[in-house]
Amino acid sequence: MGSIAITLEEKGIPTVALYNERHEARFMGVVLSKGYIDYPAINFNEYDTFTSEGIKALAPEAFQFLVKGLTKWKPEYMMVKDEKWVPMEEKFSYTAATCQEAREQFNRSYLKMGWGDGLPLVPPTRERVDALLEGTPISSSAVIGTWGPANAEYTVEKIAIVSAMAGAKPEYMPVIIAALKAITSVKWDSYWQTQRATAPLVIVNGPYAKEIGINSSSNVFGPNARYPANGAIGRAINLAMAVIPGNGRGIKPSNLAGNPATYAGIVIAEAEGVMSLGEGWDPVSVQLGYHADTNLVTVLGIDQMDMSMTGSIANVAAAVAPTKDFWPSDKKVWETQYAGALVVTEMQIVTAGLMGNATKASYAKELWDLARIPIDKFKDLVLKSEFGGPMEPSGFVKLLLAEPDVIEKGVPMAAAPENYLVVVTGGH
Amino acid sequence: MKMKRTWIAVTFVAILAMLTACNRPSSQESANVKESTESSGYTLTVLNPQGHVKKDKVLAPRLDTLEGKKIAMWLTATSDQLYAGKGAELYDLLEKMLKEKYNNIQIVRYADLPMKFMPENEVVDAIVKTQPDAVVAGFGG
Repeated sequence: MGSIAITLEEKGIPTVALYNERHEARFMGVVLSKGYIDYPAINFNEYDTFTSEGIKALAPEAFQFLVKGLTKWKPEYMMVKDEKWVPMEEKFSYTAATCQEAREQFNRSYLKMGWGDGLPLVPPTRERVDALLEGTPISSSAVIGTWGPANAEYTVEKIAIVSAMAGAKPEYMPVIIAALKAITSVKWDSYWQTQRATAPLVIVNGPYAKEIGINSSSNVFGPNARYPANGAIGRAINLAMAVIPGNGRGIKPSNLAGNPATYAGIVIAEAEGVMSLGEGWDPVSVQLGYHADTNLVTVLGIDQMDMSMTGSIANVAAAVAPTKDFWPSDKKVWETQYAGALVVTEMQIVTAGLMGNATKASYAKELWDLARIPIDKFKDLVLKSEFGGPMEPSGFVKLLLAEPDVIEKGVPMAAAPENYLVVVTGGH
Repeated sequence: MKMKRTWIAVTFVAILAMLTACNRPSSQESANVKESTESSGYTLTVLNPQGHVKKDKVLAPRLDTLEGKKIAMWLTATSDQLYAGKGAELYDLLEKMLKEKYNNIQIVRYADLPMKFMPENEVVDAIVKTQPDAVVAGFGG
């Protein structure tokens, strides 16, 4: 839809777009990805468009916007400076009778601009942002990556601003910056807003995790007052993904049901202290080729979590299913991407240690062996056209489906056991 | 990495934060506050998180006026489509409002254009064929 409007613009025909809000993410995702930051578009409350009364009520505003968009249109939130779109206002001020009222004004205003998650935001004052910048030796003007539909610049300054909004502390900044460097190193996924609802799983290795209080023990995926860093770091990363890109307003979230992990994120540390139980339990950092004790941040975009508490890898494997939207596009991706992370708790290690026969590699191998589906089911789930019709396998998928092991045991969710990360974390 | 770790420094930072999070406006801040009306109120000044974006593309030139122009009103929703909303009703109202305000305006009605968005080249060709001066695009009602 957005590409048709942009094609017309490129033919010299001015356009303006009106739609209900459910089309906002898809439409603006396309328009922004094509570089049209100032495109005139207006969206209306979805439910107002369901009734004749609602339509009559919104028609005057739609008419005014239509005329403005085709004649006297000027960007509303961004302006051009030095060949870049920059915000018209680099700071905002809220004046009220009391401090509390000013903070509430700020929160309402930022939410209205699409900059928030509904939880209270901490005001990113100059002083607070400067305090966060003390947590990193990197220059505030350094661009650590570009990302989002419009390839917005992620400067350390902007990251510090959203980190302040999330309630982060200065010492969290190295982890937040490292995670965003990883995230922005991957090209913006244009299907994210229409087909996917991924959340970043951030795995932190090395002594710095313990130093700043990232949980690797009880309730590691939830709050733990003894280890408060996980939530604020996760929230900062997710706010940065939603707030820093865009056209002067936050980018629209996924059209799907969403992912609760995008509130406070999924940030975990690996419990490296309990991993001296035996051979074969190197931390993720070592698995990935770094020295032990390396401070390392690893990010996986994950769509689903199976919180199986039984310790059975078979149960976990049964929950791993391929979908068309996540199936790798070519053989290289298939062979290099991680299919997911298997989390093993300390208790499971202790049990394994007592039994003396399990390692990270054996867990990964077991998962790889078990997380398979029959070829017919695979075809039903993955080999579909855009509109749901069946497709014949081609390329590396055709070769994969012809392999004797696949015919006998089903299609594995990853190219090899090494394509699963095994992480030790969580309580007893 | 420079981090303040002593309790004295932490306390100082906390107190400093409390003092600076909501200040009475300084003369410089007051000059920057658009909506500040009360010199006795609290002013909270916060930074904009929006990232900068490289300027790449330019929109088609806008029209001087809609007077005498041909406007194609392309709508993808149909009235019987689930959750389509009432896009056709909105477009009928907009057409009426446009004709009331601009005497010689010509409207290419949505019903005379493909009410779909695929295949894209077909839709674009059909719209361009009407030789519009501008296009209104509407989705889903």
